[in-house]
Amino acid sequence: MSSAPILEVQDLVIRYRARGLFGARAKPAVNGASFQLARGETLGIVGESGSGKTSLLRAILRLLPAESGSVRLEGQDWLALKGEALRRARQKIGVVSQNPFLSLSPRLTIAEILAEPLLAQGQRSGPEMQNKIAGLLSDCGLPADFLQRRARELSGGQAQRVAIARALALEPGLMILDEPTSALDVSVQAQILNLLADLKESRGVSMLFVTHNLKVVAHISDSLLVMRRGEIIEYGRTEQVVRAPTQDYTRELLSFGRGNEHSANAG
Amino acid sequence: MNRLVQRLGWPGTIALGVVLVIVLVAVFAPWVAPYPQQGVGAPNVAAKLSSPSAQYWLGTDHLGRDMLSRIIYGTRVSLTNGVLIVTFSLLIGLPVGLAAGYFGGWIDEALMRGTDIFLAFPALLLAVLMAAALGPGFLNSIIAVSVTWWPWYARLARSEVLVLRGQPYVEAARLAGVSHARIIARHILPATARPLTVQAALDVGPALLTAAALSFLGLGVLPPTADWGQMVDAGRKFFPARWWYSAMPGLAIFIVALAFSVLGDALRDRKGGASRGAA
Amino acid sequence: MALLEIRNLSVAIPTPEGDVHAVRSVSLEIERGEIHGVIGESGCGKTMTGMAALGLVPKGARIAADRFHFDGEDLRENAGRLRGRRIGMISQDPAAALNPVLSIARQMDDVLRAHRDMPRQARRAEAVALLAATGLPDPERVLKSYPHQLSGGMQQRVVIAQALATGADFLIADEPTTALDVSVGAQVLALLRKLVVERGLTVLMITHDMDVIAEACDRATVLYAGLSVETGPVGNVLQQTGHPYARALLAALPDAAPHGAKLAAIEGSIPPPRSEINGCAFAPRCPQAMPVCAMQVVPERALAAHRWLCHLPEGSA
Repeated sequence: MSSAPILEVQDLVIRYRARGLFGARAKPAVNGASFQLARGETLGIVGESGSGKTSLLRAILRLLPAESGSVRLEGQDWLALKGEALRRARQKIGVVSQNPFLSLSPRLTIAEILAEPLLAQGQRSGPEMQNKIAGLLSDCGLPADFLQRRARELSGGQAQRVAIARALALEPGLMILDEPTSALDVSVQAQILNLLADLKESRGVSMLFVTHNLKVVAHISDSLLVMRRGEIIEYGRTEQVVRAPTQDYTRELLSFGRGNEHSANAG
Repeated sequence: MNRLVQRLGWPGTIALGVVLVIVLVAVFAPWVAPYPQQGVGAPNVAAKLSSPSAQYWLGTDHLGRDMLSRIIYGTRVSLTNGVLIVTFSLLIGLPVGLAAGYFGGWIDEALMRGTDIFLAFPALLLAVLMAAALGPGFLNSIIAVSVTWWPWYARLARSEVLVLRGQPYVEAARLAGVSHARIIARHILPATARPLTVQAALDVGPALLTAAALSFLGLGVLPPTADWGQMVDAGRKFFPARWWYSAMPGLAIFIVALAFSVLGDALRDRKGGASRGAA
Repeated sequence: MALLEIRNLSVAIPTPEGDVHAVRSVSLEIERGEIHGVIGESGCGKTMTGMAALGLVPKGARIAADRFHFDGEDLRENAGRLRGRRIGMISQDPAAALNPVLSIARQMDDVLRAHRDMPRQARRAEAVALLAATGLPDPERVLKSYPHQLSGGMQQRVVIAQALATGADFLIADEPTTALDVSVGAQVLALLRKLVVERGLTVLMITHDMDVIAEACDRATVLYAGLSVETGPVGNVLQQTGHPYARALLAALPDAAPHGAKLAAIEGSIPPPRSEINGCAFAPRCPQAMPVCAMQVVPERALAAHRWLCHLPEGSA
């Protein structure tokens, strides 16, 4: 890791506001998270509900305020950005969420959906933009005749490809993927994971892959971070975490299922 | 036609027919009315207070004017009342609700507490007070009713926006750096349009009813313009002997209000439509 | 005799655009005291198969089968009566299965009163015993709770206790752990295993997750496009997999390939639910397809209790 990391999170604390005037101060949702994401690498963040992974993600996306700590994106103090500056800087992060049918507007065509981020950052619509949009779509494995369709006419995998294309539209250095395959069938999940691996290679984009499924993320990430109850309990290179997890909890997640067949009646 | 019945149901289709007929009657009043001059207000004292007959189908009023012609001209006032009240209310309520719902926080608090003040008064009382303060007249009565009406649209718009604002696709737009103005124009407004237009259609009936109530109290349109509420009031002096004077415009109000309300219900429950996606 | 016997079940749902073949031909034999997994991707007909056994198919749907029997009774006639008496159901979302405004005590008591002739005190004691049997610590406190005060895992245990309260000895569990965290889901699966051993329960487990099959099931049946294409002991189905679709599904799992390597995604998509299928339904996507696959009725291959449908001879995988 010679170059500076693209994302640097230091002692990040996130706490939800107490309910009511005299409510007890809530336990922090994220209690002092520190980690780095190197350029061109993928970091997997694994945790179950209540682990704090979603809060961490939303704070990095500036949808939740952080109580203390720092986030640096491409060396810039990311939490200090405000208003118009923040809006413009958002093009540095592309986001893909769990359910593409909810994250793509039901009213717009795929072409309009893909144009939206470009228009938002002041690019002019025209043949050039149309070419760019068609190129994005084909990079994500969909033919150009999808441009005039709407999200509801697509399968789950196709819709998620559109969502990935939109996230890439502004050529962000960082992609944040929030359970991008959890709503998909296994065979489609494999296609999406392959697509993400291709994009990582061809575009050198760095990824933050958040999921509850350790096996999925272990396959494509360079480093892994396991969260539980607001704490980072495991953080290291993927091979190392998978080979020698330091926590029972990680071991439990890794050992669930196949390779562990219940075989009372197996012949 | 079959598709229309399928989507609106029989009551809705009939109501739509009634509303269309009323609109046509209002537009073409001078051609439809048997005595256009009397419809506008010219007296015809010779025939005053005639009972319904072949010559005057619905009878005549105390100045001898044909009730049917007066009622036909009255549709113009009533419809304009209903539509304008709803339009004004939308024009005030929609932006207020949008801003409150979208931006939240203190903007929401300030706007919605302001809205609550209007909702704290009984609607008709507030309308009467406003109309009395502004003085009688066509536009004034519309303003008076609109003042009591817009808070409902503000509330409805706000609740719709609250749901939309949390939608992942709206969040996705925000995260792509799309500006607030663009998000509202592109994602929020189009999605609120349908529930709000349904509500507006549903409200034209009650709105023109309230306006009729104001003119019944002498706070609406001034004579000689034909207005149903005012006609019901004028006929009271001759009730029940000349029952048709009050009853005929009353019946007109009833039919129009009912038609709009049934149509609004049908629109709200409309089957099929855009949401019918692929299987 | 198997507890649940399904042979060539089909469920067709008429629509204006033609029949939707939700289930084309599913055969299942579930023995007493086993957990039988039914696995497949969306649109494979796994949920509709479960619904048919519960008598809950959509109005107008046509059910046909060579045999569709539960403990000797024809489900086409008796599913409604057996449901809630001998056949219980556990769904993906326990929160939706419980009434949010009634206490657990009230909801347990309602079920017990409907199914058991017992005085009030005995019903209370039985409710406590059933909740304890599902591994809930402090059942007395759970009884006083409302659903929202319980975690998802606890809610699912209450739903299981309710199913037991009806006296059901056969549970149809449709993705019972999908909405739960992995560690909590593993506990719920362990509970089902315990109930099978201790109470002689039989479970039909509908899932999309191979790990759930491996973790909890004795035998499994793989569904594709409304057809049961492979069935057998879990060890055989997962390790000596016969059907090319089942093999492809396993190969597509992220831990099937070396770290960072390309996954073996399945090209193409499932046949449209309104289409007729000749020959093998998987042939258009199958890397080993032969000309015969698309045309002729697929023969059954068998190695002891492990059976699958394929034109390829045994051992050619």
